[in-house]
Amino acid sequence: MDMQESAEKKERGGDSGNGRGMGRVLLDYLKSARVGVSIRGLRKSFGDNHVLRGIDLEISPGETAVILGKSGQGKSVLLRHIIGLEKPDAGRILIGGEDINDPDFRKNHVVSMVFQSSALFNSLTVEENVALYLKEHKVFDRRRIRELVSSTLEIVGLEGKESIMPSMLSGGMKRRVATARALVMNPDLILFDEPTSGLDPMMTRTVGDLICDLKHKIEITQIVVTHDIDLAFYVADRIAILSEGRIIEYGTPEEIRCCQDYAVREFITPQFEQQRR
Amino acid sequence: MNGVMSFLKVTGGLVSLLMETLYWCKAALKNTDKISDQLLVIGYQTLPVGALIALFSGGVLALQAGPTLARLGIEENVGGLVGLSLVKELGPVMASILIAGRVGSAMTAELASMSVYEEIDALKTMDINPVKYLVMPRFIAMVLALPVLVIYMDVIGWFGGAVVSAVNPEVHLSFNVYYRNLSDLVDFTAFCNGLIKAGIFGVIISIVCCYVGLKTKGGPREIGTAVTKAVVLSFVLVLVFDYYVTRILLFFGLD
Repeated sequence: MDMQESAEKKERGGDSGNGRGMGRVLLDYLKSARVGVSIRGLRKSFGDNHVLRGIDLEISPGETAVILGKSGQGKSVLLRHIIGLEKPDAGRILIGGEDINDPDFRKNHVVSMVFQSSALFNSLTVEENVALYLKEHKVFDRRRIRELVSSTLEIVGLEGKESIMPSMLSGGMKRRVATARALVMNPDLILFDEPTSGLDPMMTRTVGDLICDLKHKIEITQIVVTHDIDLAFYVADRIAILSEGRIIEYGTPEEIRCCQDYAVREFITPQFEQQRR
Repeated sequence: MNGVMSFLKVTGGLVSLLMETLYWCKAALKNTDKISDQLLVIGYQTLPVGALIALFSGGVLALQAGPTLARLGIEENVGGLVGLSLVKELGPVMASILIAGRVGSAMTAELASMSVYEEIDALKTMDINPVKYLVMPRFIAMVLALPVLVIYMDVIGWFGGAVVSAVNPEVHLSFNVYYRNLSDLVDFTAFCNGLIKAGIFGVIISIVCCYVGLKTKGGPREIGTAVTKAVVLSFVLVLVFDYYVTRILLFFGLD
């Protein structure tokens, strides 16, 4: 319940638990467009494996939605569809009212993703990894890019690690570099794929705080895919429970807690607690 | 039937990647840093091993052909024979095999590993085209470096042939005679012939190795398999295209 208390404190406008807060440089830079996400009748099969069987989901602008579900239920596949890495068999995804397959979508919206594997470029240093988007799209001059990158790295607690290669970083540090890389894109929507898997409790808390900071200070729309129930209730405005390729429940954390549906209760009640009962 | 479908799929994939790479060549001037990084790996770092191979290939040509020509009383033609063999055939083919094995394999391994560990997906999410960012610099560097490497290997191979012709008692040909005959027979057309082949082989190796790398899925075992596949496919295509390019060059009188 520690995370819950902290979340309540946050609701009252308290500072983040990591003690760092958002740096001024990054805060001035990040300007969320507050886009909503609308997923309608999304279906996807890989051969005989029907992974998504008609997903309908509405996420309001500035909202943090958490998609909870067991492993292998299609959470990551759904995320890959939202960012355009997979083409659906049927259905549409609208971000800010625009279909993600529209040719002009990328010109009007930036969607970034923090991969479960971090997906850092191993041949580039931490600084080059974070700066890649800004450099390739020539968003700013070299001095401004350097300033933004170091500000973002400071926020994720990696100040002074600019010249290190990803192979020298721990799993948690890699995840934080990936988060920094997603943040400097100044996204309208940010997707997190299992942001805390493999992290220690302290680092899990830091990631949770970062997501809350983004929600409260930038009001950026976020979708978090996880099976970490603590994290889900800590950061979410709304929680969707994904089971067998369908959203079986979607509501606020309180609504999910009070839900009497067996499948939902089974998932959100930890196994140890169930056994103890 | 599956074999035919797979062949058509790979051929289509290679042609499509080539077309897309050619399209992105328009961004070459803005990516000179990436191209020069690749040139360093493909060209500069291949020079020592390229020199060694060329020196001994030229030497062995002279060693094989010299005594036979000497018995026929035409040993002064060793220079021309070694020169032409290297410029038209051995130079481009040897350099291509060397580059496919040394650089192409590394290229496939790097891109395959990037595919497997979602780095290519990460690029796409950043709206960075993987062909523009990864394939185009490698393609241009390969097409530029391979002909230069061929000239370099030709020159060293000639020298290897000259040394062996001079020290072999059965031939005992002076450097002067060797190089005079070589310059009489190796003309500009023959030189261009080798360079055209080198350019085409550069296209083949870079596209094949990048294609196989980018299409890799799975884990570490698949990365290894992809490297083997890319190198073998590059070797085969280089030798097959060598025949057809020679036929075409002969047809146009460029031989």
